[in-house]
Amino acid sequence: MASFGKAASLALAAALSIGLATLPASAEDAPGVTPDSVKIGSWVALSGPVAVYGVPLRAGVQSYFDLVNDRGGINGRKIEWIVEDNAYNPQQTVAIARKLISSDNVLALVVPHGTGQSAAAFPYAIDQQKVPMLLPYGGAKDWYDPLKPGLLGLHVLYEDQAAAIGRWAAQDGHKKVLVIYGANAAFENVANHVEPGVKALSQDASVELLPVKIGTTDYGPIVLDIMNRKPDAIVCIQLLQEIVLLSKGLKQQGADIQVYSYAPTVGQATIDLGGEFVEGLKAPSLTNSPFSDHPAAQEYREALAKYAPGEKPDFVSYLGFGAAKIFAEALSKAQEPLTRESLLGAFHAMQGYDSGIFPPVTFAQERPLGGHLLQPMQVKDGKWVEVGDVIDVNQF
Amino acid sequence: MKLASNRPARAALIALCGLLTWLVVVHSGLVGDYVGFVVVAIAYFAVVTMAVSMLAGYCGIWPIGHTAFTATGAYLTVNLGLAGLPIEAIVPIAVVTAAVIGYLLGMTAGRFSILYFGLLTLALSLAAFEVIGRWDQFTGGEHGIVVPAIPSLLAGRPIGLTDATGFTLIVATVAFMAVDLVCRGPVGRRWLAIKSQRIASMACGFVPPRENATAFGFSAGLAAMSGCAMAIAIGYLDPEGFSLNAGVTMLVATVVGGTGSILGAIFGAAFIVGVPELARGTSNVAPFIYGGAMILVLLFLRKGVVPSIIELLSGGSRGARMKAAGQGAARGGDLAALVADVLPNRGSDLVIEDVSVAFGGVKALQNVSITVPAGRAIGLIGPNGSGKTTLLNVLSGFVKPKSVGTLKVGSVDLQGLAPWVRIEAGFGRTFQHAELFGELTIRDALRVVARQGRASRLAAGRTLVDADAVAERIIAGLGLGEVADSKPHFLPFGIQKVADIARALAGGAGVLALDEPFSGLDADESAKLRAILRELRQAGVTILIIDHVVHEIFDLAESVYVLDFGSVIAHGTPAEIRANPKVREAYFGITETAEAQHA
Amino acid sequence: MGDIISLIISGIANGSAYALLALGIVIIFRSTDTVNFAIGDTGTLATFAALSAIAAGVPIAAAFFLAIAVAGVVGIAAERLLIRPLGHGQHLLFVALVITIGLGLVMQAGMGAFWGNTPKPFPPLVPGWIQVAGVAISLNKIAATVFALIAMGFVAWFFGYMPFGIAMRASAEDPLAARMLGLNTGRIASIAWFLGCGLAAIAMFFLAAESSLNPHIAHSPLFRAFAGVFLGGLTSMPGAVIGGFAIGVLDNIAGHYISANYRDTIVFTVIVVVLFVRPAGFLGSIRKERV
Repeated sequence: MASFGKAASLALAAALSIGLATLPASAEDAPGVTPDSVKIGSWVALSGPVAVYGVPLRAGVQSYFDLVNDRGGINGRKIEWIVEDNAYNPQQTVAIARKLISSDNVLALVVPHGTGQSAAAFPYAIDQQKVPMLLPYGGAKDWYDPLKPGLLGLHVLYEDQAAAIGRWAAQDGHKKVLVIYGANAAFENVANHVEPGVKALSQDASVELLPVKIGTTDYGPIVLDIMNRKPDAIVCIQLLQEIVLLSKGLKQQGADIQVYSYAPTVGQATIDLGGEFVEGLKAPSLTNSPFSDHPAAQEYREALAKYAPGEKPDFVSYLGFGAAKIFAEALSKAQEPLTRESLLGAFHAMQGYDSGIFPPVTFAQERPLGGHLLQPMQVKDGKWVEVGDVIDVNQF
Repeated sequence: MKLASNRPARAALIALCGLLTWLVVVHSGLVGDYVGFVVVAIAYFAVVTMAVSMLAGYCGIWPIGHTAFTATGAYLTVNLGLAGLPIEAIVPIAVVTAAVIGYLLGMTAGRFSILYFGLLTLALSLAAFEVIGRWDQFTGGEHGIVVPAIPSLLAGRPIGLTDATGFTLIVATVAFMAVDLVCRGPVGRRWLAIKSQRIASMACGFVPPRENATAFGFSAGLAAMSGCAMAIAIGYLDPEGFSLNAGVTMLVATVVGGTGSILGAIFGAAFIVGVPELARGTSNVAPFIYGGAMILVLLFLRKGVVPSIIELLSGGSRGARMKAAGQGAARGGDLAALVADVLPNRGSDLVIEDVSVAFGGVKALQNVSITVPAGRAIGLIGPNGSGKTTLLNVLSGFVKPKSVGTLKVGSVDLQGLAPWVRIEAGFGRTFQHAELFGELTIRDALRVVARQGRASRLAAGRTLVDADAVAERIIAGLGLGEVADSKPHFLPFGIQKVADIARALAGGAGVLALDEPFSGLDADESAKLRAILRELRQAGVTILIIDHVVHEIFDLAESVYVLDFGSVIAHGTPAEIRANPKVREAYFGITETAEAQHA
Repeated sequence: MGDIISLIISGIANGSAYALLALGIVIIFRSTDTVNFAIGDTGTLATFAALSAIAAGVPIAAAFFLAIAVAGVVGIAAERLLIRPLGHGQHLLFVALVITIGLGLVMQAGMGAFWGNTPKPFPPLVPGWIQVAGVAISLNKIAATVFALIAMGFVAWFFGYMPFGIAMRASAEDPLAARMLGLNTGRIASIAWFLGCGLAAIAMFFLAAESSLNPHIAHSPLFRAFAGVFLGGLTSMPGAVIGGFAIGVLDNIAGHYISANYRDTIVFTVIVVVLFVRPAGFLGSIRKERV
């Protein structure tokens, strides 16, 4: 009996594989490219806790591509952006990368989501198959050291953000900075970069580190500890909910200390959750404000309302929208025939392109990180508003 | 059906399937890169699903966090690979490491209840996830770690992503062969025996905590194998792959596929790999399907999809066949010769002196003393709640007495002996509801119990030593031949009671305590049982028989004790007891109604 | 020194949620032999229902009782539809447990689909905060502890003095006897699931008000509640309560003095050690598997 079943399942598997393997590949000039379409792919966490970021991210990117396609596409090609839910799971991401590359035959991976998840796909996607991975949402310093051909990032890395925040605090005249971070390696790594930033501007300033267990709901004792240390500024590298709780705790205890945080904190959720307690919070943003009067922001709000009506305008979808715009810019400049090489070539030729959303980006062969500018923001009257000029993380 | 019992042939078949899959995936040119990877993913998930499913199916233990062991295998592969060890050494090291951890944890949980395995593995998985996220040198921390090319002696070069198919299929094939060999053999039968009757299995000499721990260790080793394959096949390890969610997904695969079945594990793995593939593009569908499938399968196809299908295809006719059996199995050979051939400890007496038991404040037994001389049959009667079964449980070691004068079988003092050691002393028992091992056929049950008594038989110089031969001999001797290949719940109660006695004999019990053997039997069944017990007594087996069916006891026993409110109120020959006014007053009024109920 | 006091105070406050969940787990286990992994998600679901009610204008205090009722009814439904059809028997322990895991998955996905995965602000029953021993403690947290104690008091009274509660306790110890006494086991199961899930709703209601509400918030407290159950014993109600509070304090102290990085690992180690020393927990009794 068992033998029969085993043989049957084997036959089934074989039949399945033959069926899938013999799917006709349409006439393509390069992987995923036809005269009137270009196929690109991505993985985004659409389920599980991280879907909080994944869902708006997809909505933003998709809205821009929908907008472009309705205007006739890029060089006559409609953009087909295939998104798979990786559930924030690296194994699943590897499977998705295989499918997108070997079965869907995509030209490039565009705005893939998740740091560890995308890294899991490197050995296959970048090292083995040489498929460009463009503008991932997430990333770490060691991704770009040594340089991986075809891996181009848009974000200012968290490490660089931390250093920039340090300089910002020093610029604001703070001398005793306390860095509070969620106690795990990723947060700690970021937190460690605050001190060089502070010291770069103000050598006599002191920087202290304070790890807090992730998932802490009770900030009473921690606030007491903080007040004993008497800092004049706090840099918070933590999950959003905890930054809110910490701000609450500080206000309740009557402490008036300027709090800084990093880019993931910049979002409507911070204000929804924190209310009056996060008033005055400062953090750098990767983009300008989606609620501002910039033409790009207006275009974004209209597109989102049209193509993703369920999604409220916010920073994450705005960021996705902007990333898609930068990709489309490179695609439009890529030399014909469109190939992976010509697409990368267009990116490498990109000099100070201003999307109106991100500060101007510049890529080059030896410069895989396009973004180096941060927009300082602050919560004022229950809104994130731009304060001061952009910070260049490359200028020390 | 033949294949089911031929283990070498099954192992060869598994190997053949593995080879064929490899040929199709790698060399046929029919399978694209992506489909090839899907096959590989199914293979490594099937191994860890098998690890979970084997525990659930053979031991009734559902581990929630087996990901900890998968992670052990995966991260050891990376680190030992970095240290230059060949993959051929890494896999065994990983398996042994995980198995040892699993065994130790199993000993912790197994001492209490199988439920604790579930909760303990849950905790283990959370702790492991935390450690993985933090132990940077070993795991790369939260960022994850790239799997290097691992040296291989067989391949003669380092292996990596491109060798994933071959490597994973080899691992899966070996794992499935190991599962098949272990689980379909005596070890697996022992696990099934314990799973179906934990208490009764102890009376047969099985050690549930140790067996559970062994099974858990074995399963952990399998999970580690899956981890090794996963590392090679993915090329990158990230803590998220070993989170509690991943562990729950393994449970989904186990439930859907069906427990304890290799095909089920493969099906379940295909399910968890396939659902996200098919739900492509739609967000948040997989958790609904996973959770929903788990609930629906457990409610409507308790055994899982694959075993249910197999049962439908092959098992439909079985029930009917068994009904036809049961009728009148002829007994072959005389029991005296059987006893002489297979029982290592004959001619021991059973001495109980001053046994007292208290539950909370209630005195269940007070200074009870009963002696059963070697080769005799003694009866014990008493109303419900008088302490008869409690006394039997004291003898079996299930109930700890408050105080004991003497508790001896022959020269062996039973006091302080674990329940599973008592059969070695020659003490065996039966149960009121027979309590046969539901998932084993009568033959398999007798064989696996007979293995326990092998050493004693050898030491006692019995002519029959081999377990299978002993089982056959008992089957023939007690007339169980026609029903030997069926599972107990298909059988009439009378046959079950005989099989219960057969089980005790297979364990080597020369001193037999019978808990209400005649209750619930019809006249025909009672007559057969009576004949068997008489012959056993004549053959020199020492018998303590407890029953409400008093006339059977008076018929069989040469002397009878009467228990009431935990004390012996009378002792004498059947005739004396019948005449004893105290007994009549305390007992016989009730007996008649009890008898009426049983009839 | 102020540290340790504030750690203990806040540990007890956190522990009240663990203790409530642990008590719920034990009540349900004793009556129906089911380790309910969906208990936390049931509480979360009820809290989401309360959130929707508050948004529709229902006062917070009424929403609080609504949450308890919703969780209780969901619990009863789960027992009726998913657990009872399984039947009885020791070998079903795990089947029931696994079904509740499946139920939890469906509930989490459902909440995500209906209310979204974004953390939602949740209003406290009692806003504001006070200073205790120099630490600011939110009134919500104090209310959580007070309500936890009230709920536990109610449970103790119910099982200790109410005839039906006493009968339930007896039936947990001897189901056969319960049946012989003519107790309605179905009704016992329903009441146990109502109580257990209602307690979980109280725990989740206050936890949500303390930070925010999302479909996954039950995950970490549930694990700690299980740790509390281990400590106290799977069958002991007072054990579960004390275990839950103990884990709250232990978790805080270990997180502060040993390492904030290995919280779960520390809790796990404690569990293993407890199992080695006292397999039944500190107040539990070894449940004899029935012959």
